[in-house]
Amino acid sequence: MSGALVIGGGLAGSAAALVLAEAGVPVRRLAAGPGATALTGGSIDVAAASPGVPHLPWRDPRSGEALPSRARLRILLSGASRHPYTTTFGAAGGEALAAAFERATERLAGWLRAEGIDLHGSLDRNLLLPSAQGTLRISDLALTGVASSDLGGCRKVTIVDVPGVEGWDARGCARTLASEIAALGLGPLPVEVVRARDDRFASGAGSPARIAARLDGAEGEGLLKAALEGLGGADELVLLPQVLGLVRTRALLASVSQGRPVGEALSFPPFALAGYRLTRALDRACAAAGVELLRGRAGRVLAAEGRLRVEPEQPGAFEALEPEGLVLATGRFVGGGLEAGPRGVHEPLLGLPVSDPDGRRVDGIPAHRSVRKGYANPQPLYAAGVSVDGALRPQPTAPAGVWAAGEWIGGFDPARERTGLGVALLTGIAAGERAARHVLGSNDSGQAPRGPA
Amino acid sequence: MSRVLPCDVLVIGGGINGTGIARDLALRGVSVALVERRELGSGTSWASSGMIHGGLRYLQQDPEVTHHSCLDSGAIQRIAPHLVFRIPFLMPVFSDDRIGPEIVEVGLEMYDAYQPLKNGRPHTRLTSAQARELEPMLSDRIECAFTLDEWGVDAGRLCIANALDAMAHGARVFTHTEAVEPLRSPGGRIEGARVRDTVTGETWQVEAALTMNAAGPWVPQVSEMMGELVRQRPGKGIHLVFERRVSNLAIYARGVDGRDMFTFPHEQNSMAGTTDDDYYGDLDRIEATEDEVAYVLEAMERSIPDIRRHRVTHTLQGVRPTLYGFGAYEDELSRDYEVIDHGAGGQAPGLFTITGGKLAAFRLMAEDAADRLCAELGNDAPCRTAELPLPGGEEPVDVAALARKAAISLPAALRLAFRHGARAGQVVGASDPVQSPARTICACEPVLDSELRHVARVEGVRKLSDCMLRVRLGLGACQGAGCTASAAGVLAEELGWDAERTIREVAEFAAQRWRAVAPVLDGAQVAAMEVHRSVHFGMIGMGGAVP
Ligand SMILES: Cc1cc2nc3c(=O)[nH]c(=O)nc-3n(C[C@H](O)[C@H](O)[C@H](O)COP(=O)(O)OP(=O)(O)OC[C@H]3O[C@@H](n4cnc5c(N)ncnc54)[C@H](O)[C@@H]3O)c2cc1C
Ligand SMILES: Cc1cc2nc3c(=O)[nH]c(=O)nc-3n(C[C@H](O)[C@H](O)[C@H](O)COP(=O)(O)OP(=O)(O)OC[C@H]3O[C@@H](n4cnc5c(N)ncnc54)[C@H](O)[C@@H]3O)c2cc1C
Repeated sequence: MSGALVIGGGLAGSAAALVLAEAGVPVRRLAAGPGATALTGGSIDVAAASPGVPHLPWRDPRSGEALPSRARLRILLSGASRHPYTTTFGAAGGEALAAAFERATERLAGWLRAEGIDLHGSLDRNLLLPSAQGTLRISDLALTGVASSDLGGCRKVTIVDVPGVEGWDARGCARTLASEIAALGLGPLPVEVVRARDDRFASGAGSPARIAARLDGAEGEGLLKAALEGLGGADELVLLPQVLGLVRTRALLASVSQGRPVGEALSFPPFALAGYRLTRALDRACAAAGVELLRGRAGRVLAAEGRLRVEPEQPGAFEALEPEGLVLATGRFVGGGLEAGPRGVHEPLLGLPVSDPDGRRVDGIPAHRSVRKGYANPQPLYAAGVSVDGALRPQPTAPAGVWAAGEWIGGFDPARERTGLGVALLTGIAAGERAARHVLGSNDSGQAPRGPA
Repeated sequence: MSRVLPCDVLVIGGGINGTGIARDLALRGVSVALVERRELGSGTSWASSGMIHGGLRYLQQDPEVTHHSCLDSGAIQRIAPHLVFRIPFLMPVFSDDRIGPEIVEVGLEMYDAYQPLKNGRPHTRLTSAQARELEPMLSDRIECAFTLDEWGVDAGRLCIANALDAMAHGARVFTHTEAVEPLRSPGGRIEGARVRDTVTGETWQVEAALTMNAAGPWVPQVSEMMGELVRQRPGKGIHLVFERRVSNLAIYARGVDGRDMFTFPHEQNSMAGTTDDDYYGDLDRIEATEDEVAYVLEAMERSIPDIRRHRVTHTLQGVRPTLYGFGAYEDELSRDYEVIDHGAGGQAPGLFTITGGKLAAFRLMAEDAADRLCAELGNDAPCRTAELPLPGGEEPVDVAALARKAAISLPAALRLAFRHGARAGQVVGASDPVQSPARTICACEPVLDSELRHVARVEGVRKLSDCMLRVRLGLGACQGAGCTASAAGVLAEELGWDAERTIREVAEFAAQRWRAVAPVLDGAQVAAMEVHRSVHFGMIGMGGAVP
């Protein structure tokens, strides 16, 4: 096989594959199944603020001024030395990193637009997104559906009560949201709960996914319109669970919004659909760009005499692949890029060392031995992954022609730091660019420049 | 001015012994107050194997215990049929076992004599092939196998049922309320205790003619507080809890030191255990250790060679309040119990203690203890705990009809009927003007919206963490990733929590699950907890609320 192979069907792998395809490289994307990307809740966290994580404040601790992501990126670079942002851009690379994100965001927006999803937000203004639990999540980028529930500029929130929907408790959401609004000093911003007068759109459905599938159908739009009739007004947000279609979200929103913002709450599995929509859109974008999509689990990556060879986990499941360039974007434990079992924690494809943010190895020992007491403590195990150099080459020794992307790279904790999809996007694009240059013959073997070109 | 509650008897401790005694006394018309510093049953009782077995183990050195246990197993089946389930055991015999099948069978024949006391069937002997047909993952090295009959119970719900019945007969039950200091008369008599509500921080007093120390392994601590010495030989035991059932039958396994252990289906899960080791550590921070986990798995592996491929989600650990004994190995210690009158011989008249024993014999123990207290109080009402059903045990439930009527799935109806028995209909009726009572909160168990409202309204639940034991919230593979927040929302509404309290309850619940999972974190559970963290920190954003 000539051309490139990407292993991983999350945002990191898909971004790499799309970049390769757009550079004119024949590319295949191999994925065992959906990864963490499919579980995401609707925000693309570049440097979202996270209460309890001091280096990602949402306000300047001294002046009280709101800090946008651009500022948080700078703070993060100076504090988290093994974060992939720092590894690729250096502690002083804040501006370059922000600029890279601006380009990356534009590319992602382009890929998703054609598939019915828009990417909203920027690094210069925080989005204030309510979660289904009513907590306010300070984010930077968000997808169609949740993006329109930004409370910035909003004068009132109407939470739609829909009985029987799993994971949706409108009154609980309202209670917490009102208290968060007060705590963050966003008021006056009244929050009210209104029972949908006509709840046929949800009746008997139970899970948000089922309701969403119904709303995608021919009758769905009408039912939803009837349900939202008379709710909200200009600048008055109508907040719903994630039910606005599995595939027609943008069209549904456009049709039911009618001059007022209608949005979905950030959510988590099994109640979140944003990750499903994102994954589906990325798959379709890849296919449209000419990426050949393969389903299957790789077992090993071998290198002999300068050639790469990817073998299936189950012998015979697919014919071994021999790409010229390889991007590994296999994620962490949810994705399958790291495994825990009888051999301890390990990286299955290349057998690479797995390190935590302090550079300590966690591979080769049982997972529970890397656990710290106390749920709230930083957990090395969940911030661990492979190490890379500034050019995203796995360290200390990976065969030439291999690049790393996404959560497979260690040094950060996406759950606490809220930089998950941001890392996937940035490193996915950068790894794709490097792999493309490698395959297309330009020289990428010398000393790596800081940051992706 | 602090609040004062006068009563006849103060019971300290809401495990199976405390709740059993409170019920017995209340049924005899005694006015009772019970204080439990955490949740009812959350001490040793919840950590037990939940087996109301006769204790084949004790047949040799403690036939009395076997007899008591079998007899009372029968009584528990009568008064709480909904909480009890049959557990047929399979006992494989290996050619390298110290004792061959012939001798094993002699023991089982002796045990058969006790089976009628507890509605058990006599043992049978199976060939290796027959046994492997029943449980295909059994080792192919077995020579033959025996079956014997035992019963399991939801120990947590059994404590709750006793407490509910006590309450129905006038007892006052206070959870998250700790006895902190004795009330003493000038003559040195114990007249109740000063207690502290650990949720509100309020301190108040229970004035009682008699005080019963039923604090399980905390008995020595509570006695010391009262100025008395009671010794125990505390024996720590752990269980591994599997994500789902590993086998349909319980299967015996032998540890490297020859101890018998087993893996057994328990409600929606399987458990494996248990260990028994002298324990000198902190009773409030009991944790499974790596070597205990390895010891149990090694034993299980002999009977079920591929046991390590099954996912262990978390561990259960507790400390047996075993009677003091010197110079014996843990397993050889007596499982008998003692009721101590600290007036006779001690320096604390008015104080009684119950210590030792087994869950399976709780009713008999409670009867004995209540007899002693009643004699002191001059109350000669008879004990009625063996005839009167516990709440829910009044009549069998038509599960199919329940499912139809409440518009819930059959599995949900089955579990509801299991936990609440005849009251299941009332439980699904605990409605809310908007939320559907049938809304699923936790899909693993399953737990419905209405059940949470019911335990908050009727059963006196005070904290989200109480729901783990009450309704088995958060015990599935995801360890509450999907249900904790929803459940907190329902309780917040029922109990009037503000947003801050609600988030704190979520954070505490999540942290508690983490403590139970961390010692066995491995395999697929590592990914499950990655999701758990993403939900709690990433999506909900508990911030600084985590304890
Ligand atoms: C519940 C949850 C919610 C989250 N919510 C958000 C959110 O709202 N916003 C946000 O920014 N971040 C969120 N995150 C973090 C974010 O999901 C991850 O950081 C990000 O998706 C990682 O992307 P990835 O492409 O690196 O890996 P993944 O998305 O995990 O993809 C890994 C891919 O590799 C494949 N793979 C692995 N091994 C092999 C193999 N051997 N052979 C073939 N294929 C293989 C997998 O099948 C999968 O397709 C959330 C995480 C979780 C768990
Ligand atoms: C691993 C294991 C397996 C077991 N398996 C079985 C079995 O299969 N079958 C069987 O019959 N028995 C079994 N047992 C034994 C059985 O669990 C115990 O005998 C029984 O549960 C003890 O109940 P208890 O009420 O005395 O103690 P506990 O259940 O511990 O109750 C005591 C309560 O007192 C409370 N308390 C303590 N101090 C205070 C205070 N100051 N103020 C207020 N409250 C206080 C505690 O919080 C606790 O809830 C097992 C035990 C273990 C450890």
